[in-house]
Amino acid sequence: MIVIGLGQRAAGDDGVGPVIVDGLRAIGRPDLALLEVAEPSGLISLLATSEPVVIVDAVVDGESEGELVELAELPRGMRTVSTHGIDLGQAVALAGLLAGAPHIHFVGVTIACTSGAYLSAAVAAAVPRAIERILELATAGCSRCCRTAGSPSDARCRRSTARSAHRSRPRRRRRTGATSRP
Amino acid sequence: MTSSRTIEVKSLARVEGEGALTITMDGDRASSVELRIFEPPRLFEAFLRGRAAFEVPDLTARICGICPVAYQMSSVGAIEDALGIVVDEPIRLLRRLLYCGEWIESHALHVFMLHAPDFLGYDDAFAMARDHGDMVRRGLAIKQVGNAIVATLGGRAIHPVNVRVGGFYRVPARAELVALLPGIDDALAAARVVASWLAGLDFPDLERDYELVALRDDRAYPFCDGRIASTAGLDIAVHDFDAVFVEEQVPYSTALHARVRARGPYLCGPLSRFALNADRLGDAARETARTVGLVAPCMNPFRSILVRLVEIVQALDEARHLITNHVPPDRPYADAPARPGVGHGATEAPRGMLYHRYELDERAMITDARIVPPTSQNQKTIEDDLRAVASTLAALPHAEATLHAERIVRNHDPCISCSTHFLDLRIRR
Repeated sequence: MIVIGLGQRAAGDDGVGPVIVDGLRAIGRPDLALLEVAEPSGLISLLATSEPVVIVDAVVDGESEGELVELAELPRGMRTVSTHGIDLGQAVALAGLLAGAPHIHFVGVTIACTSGAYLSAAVAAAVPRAIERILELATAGCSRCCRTAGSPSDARCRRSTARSAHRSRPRRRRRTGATSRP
Repeated sequence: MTSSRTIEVKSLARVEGEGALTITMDGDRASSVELRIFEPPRLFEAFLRGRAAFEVPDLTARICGICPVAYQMSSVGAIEDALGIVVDEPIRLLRRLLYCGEWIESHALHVFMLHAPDFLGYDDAFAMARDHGDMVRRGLAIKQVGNAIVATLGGRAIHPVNVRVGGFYRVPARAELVALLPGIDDALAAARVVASWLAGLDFPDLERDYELVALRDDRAYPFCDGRIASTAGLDIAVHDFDAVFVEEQVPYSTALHARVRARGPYLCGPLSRFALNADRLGDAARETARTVGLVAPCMNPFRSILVRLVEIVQALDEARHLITNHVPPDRPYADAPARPGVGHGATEAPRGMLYHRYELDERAMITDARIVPPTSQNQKTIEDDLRAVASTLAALPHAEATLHAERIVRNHDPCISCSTHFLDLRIRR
């Protein structure tokens, strides 16, 4: 399984994806390929793979900080951060056009602050939970079952997807990826 | 009998920021052209007042996500001018390397994701990727090399944080720079393949009589240094900008229009740099220009896509040269005591010359700031481009006329968000 931390270090909570990848690296799981990319256009070449992928990124929902958000499928039509960049949904769609996208499981951490060099306390507190959840996905074979069946069949995966479906009905506008105004 | 109609693009696609376009046609003549920029004013110049000079590069980097390096370079240039700082030569060269990264990523995005679909009849790069996936893949790979250079020099890829007045906070180790070379070589090879593809595009006939304005540097293709030159014979120091150029408000736009005081509108950007500095290109970029059939000056705005590719090759080639010949500086930055003064800086952002001017008090606090971005300088000329094709637009069905008008705007890669930080907010009652 490939885990990609999406976001910028030294950009406050936007760096939560790379920090989670750091945590996984420290645990030492040779079965996980750990990658990091600063912004979504960099994802496209990384998604040219048949391996299942977990993308971990910061999420702004305008309501919470440090809450895990999971999506088994990225909603289409997410707000574009800028026409001078490619957002997460566009990057995944373009990767699919160019090489056929792998199964992608999205793990997000809600954030509120993109200033400063480090994570806020609330977001830092969510890092161990995110790591635990990614390890669950890896060890339970959730992604493998999703990849082969085309839809979740593992009980653990179904629970996750059900929660994702609930969470993916945003009460307010949600956007992902780099959170600063270009 | 003449008929009148209005071509209205309510929201311009594939340009950065919130803009619209209204052309009122009277027969085959455009009686009115308004490139309406309704991106809200961002007031950067106002909130820079009262901030310390050393804060400015981090604040101005936030103006734009695709050209933050340009904002940092013009601002530190102006503040160093005010404080009397002359940066060490290795620092000057590392700044050029950082700027190479920005040109590569910005130009690659425009060429492959925003501009190329226009020539091939696709709605966007996603539709184009179905048939030209290899070219999109190459374009994105080139862009990633630019991102990597900016991240290495700037500390992060978006809104870099490592530039400071006098130099850098931290100079990367040689090994960090050398690690960029394989990607640069791959990108140069990809650009060679792309050149033949782009050369085969169908370019509409349009020759304009622009006054092209750009920096011209005796030493190299311009990034951060040089005098302001034009194809009409202008040759002035950067600090004379206000004596020659003027910005004016128009009622329908939150961006100011610029013109040469004595003459009128002008154009800055890739066509201008190429026209005034083709003799400063390196061998690789010259070869690319030959491959795509470019000869300076190029006055066809549709062919700006080719000039951007030439500049991508120039930036990749120069980045390679700068890394290979890198001499570590003795110190990461030069310092100077605070003093009052006025400083001017102009650098070549991907879409054209970016001018900054700051006044500092005795504590080096900003008392006045002026930022003139390339898109506002080009706004009037873009409108004139549309007037020039009015007869073509008149002959086209409405949907095609609208698409053609949008293409005219996209030729210049306007960054509307950048252009809307005017200071003088007037409310009509």
